[in-house]
Amino acid sequence: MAEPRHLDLLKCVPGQITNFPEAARQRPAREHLRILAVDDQRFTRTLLYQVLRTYGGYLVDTTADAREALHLYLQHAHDIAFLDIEIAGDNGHTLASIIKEIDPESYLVMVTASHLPEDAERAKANKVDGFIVKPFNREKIHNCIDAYMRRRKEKPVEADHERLGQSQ
Amino acid sequence: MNASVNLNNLRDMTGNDAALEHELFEAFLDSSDECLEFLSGHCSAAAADDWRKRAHAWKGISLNLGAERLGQLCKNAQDNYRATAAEKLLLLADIREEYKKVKAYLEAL
Repeated sequence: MAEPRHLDLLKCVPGQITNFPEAARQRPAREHLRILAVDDQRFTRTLLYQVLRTYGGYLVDTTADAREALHLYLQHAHDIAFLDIEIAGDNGHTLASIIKEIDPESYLVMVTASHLPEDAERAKANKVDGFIVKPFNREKIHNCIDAYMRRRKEKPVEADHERLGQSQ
Repeated sequence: MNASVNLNNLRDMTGNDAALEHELFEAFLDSSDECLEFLSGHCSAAAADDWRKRAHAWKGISLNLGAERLGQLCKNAQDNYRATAAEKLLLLADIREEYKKVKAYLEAL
């Protein structure tokens, strides 16, 4: 595993990184997808929760804070994480970069009101899997989930297990 | 529906759940009141980045609510985060006026 670069954010999760492969092993066995939604606005968190929980039946964790988001991700190894860029505690790009570093198989979608090319470029550099510009709607969210499901079918979960096992 | 707010997209997501809509409107109004107060107190050049971030946040929730004009005004404020304090006060006057309409509409529902 590469040396973590974002030490400030990583300070809040002592021990969790080494335990992460075990959390990730539980991922394929879940009956329902588990999804993380990170946004500093209660309005947006509530709306995302509604779309994901009510219409999708998914397990959903929400938070406004980058530190708590990382803690939750390492604890639950979410199938998909929807990340705003402007969030409390740090920013969504940094969070995405850390998660991808720890878990290259993570499926991350930036959800932002930003039209700035540099935000799209940074997301691309972080190898995030989706980029939704607000306003979002049900279709945009579910298209991301469909894309994740397609990827999951194409990539056998055993390969993911092996990779995570080797990284310990 | 009125000229300031179009709830079609929001209602597609809430499934016309009145209680949930009320919760969302409350969250929107609380955040908007905070944003307005924050922007009003941070027009100086030294607070330009804070101004940009807060205008950006308000833009996002406005667009997802369906308050498109308010969202556009917030975008304008975000884009002009390096404007002078006097110019920012003018931007804020437009925002305040539009927000008044959005708030009145939501509170009447």
